[in-house]
Amino acid sequence: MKPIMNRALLSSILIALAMLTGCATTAPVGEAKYRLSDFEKPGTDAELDISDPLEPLNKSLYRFNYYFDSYFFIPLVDAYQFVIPDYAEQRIASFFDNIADIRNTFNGALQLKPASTGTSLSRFAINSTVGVFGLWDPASTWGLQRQDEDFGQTLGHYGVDNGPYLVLPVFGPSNLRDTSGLLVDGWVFSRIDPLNFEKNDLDTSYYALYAITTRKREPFRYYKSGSPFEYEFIRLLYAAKRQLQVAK
Amino acid sequence: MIARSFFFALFLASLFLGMPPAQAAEKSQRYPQSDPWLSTILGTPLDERAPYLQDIPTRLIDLEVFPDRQVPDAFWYNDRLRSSLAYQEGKAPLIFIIAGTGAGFNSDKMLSLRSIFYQAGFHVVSISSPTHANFVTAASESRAPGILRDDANDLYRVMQTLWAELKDEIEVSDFYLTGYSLGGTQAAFVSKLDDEQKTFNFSKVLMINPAVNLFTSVSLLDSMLEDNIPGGAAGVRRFLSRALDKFATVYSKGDFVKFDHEFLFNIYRGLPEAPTDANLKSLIGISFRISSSNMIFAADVMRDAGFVVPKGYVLGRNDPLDAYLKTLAYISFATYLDDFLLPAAQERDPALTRQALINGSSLRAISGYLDQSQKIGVMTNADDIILGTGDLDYLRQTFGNRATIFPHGGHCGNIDQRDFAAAMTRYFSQP
Repeated sequence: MKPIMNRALLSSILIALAMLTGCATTAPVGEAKYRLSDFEKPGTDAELDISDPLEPLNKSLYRFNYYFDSYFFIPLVDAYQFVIPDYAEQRIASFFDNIADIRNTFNGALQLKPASTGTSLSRFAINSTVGVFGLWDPASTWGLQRQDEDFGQTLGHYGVDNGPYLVLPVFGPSNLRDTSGLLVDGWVFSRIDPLNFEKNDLDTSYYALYAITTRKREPFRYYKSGSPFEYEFIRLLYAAKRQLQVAK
Repeated sequence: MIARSFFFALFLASLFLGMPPAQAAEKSQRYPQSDPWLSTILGTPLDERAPYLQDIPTRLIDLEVFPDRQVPDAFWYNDRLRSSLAYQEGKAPLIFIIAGTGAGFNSDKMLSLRSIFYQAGFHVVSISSPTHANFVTAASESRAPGILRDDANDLYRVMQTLWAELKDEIEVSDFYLTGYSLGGTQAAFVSKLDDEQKTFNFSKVLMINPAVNLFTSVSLLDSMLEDNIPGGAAGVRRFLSRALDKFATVYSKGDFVKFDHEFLFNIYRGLPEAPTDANLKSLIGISFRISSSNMIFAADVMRDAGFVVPKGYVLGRNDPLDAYLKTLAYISFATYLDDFLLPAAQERDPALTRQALINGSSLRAISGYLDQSQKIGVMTNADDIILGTGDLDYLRQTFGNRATIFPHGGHCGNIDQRDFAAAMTRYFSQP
């Protein structure tokens, strides 16, 4: 019985794979009128090229994120916006920004940036106290602007390359370096445990609310540009944005 | 949205080409209204803009224009035409707005126009340009945009289909039509069509910064890239990559809070010296080529024309597209005209010549109609960079007192400027 079941399993996997990759066309494939090799030797000009060895998988995940957004995430964000008054939403967003200043302080320090580290630390101290657990952000009104730092930037600061481009489920565009950074930042947060998740079970609500707040702030919607090259443009924009953040 | 952010990133970067980083953000400069290139890129500073309304009651509409059309798997997300209706409570005039070359129904300029006309009390229907990939895929009959008569037919079909869907939901007192850039030119052709078919009987039509001859304008835009980037099309990626590196250096020294429209002006005001015209032209040229690449690729796949994608090849959802994108950076609109559009049009009309095609895609082809039709007006700028020699005079002569010409603003740079916005609204409000 077992081998037969295995064979059945194997063939269904193969069929599924064939469906995923698209069946080979039987029509003869001709030539294109204009090919890149008519203009330049392929591979000679690598400017703006972004390493993407997992492109087929990334594109599948890009599509997955679209469906996740359409059927779950965005409706959830909309419901949240509908139910929660704007004023409360702002307090919640400000609360998460304050928590993020721990990450900003930590990574500013790792990059040996005294000004940025000092700003983030002062912001955290002021907003946690005067700003009532970060629900308000008096530090910004006093001229202490947010310094966005994360471990991906810290790695970049010390010369670590982007590595291959990755589209993460739910999180979206990233690369190997920044994904590692995300994991390290998450690990540090769990070690510091500022909200004492060790002793309570608020962590699920915390992460859910954090996800909703973050998505709410991001106006990007998958496939809405209508450009056939949206994936390629986003890939480039992500790299450009991170290059700027690392340089800062 | 993406095109915009991309464009901004490129723009910001290119400003810093060849500039010593340490000096940036020291001196301040006033916004020069008189530079058409700069106006075209920067748009209107915040304090001169018409009040912008963000929260407008709007319905998004995904329209099935051709129920029988099989959209290739690779373009699954573009099978329906996306458009929007901003609606008033109660009876009001309805205005259709046609987007400019490559722009979608919710591009920046479309949102500005929606805000302006909504505040004037109109229902506003926003329609993507027939050159936008979504339109080419879902709503173009020929799937080869660029022939004004065909594009007008496609637009008119879309308007009729939209109206059939909306007429039970809103009360309409009157129909207006407008469009900017190529959308302005198309508005004139749609108006002529409507005079024959009489679905809407538009009482007012306004062309905003229209092209007089499509091919004159696109040739001007083509040459902005080819004449100003070292190495022409071959130098595009090097130009952008160098610009980005420079910009990263400058950005790291400055104190910028976030990327938004004002950020552009802050950067600009902080520049130690004005960017060169060549850099500004390069940028406009690149932006245009990105638009035309999207359009040509969509048309190529939809027609299986074998232009940059091999004929007969079925593009998969996960196929890498880099090589096509890179190839299209070399393809000018003129090349598209000669090797794609003309052959496609000759399939229907073998006698059609190149010159006849070009002549047909001009306001001059319907001069008699424009001359006599009192309901059509034009608003543009004397320094609009897409107008060729004699085009401005042509508009003045043809439209007489129905033409409003502002001295500065480049191409659509002042579209949301207070005076310009007031003049647009006035045009529709006056009897």
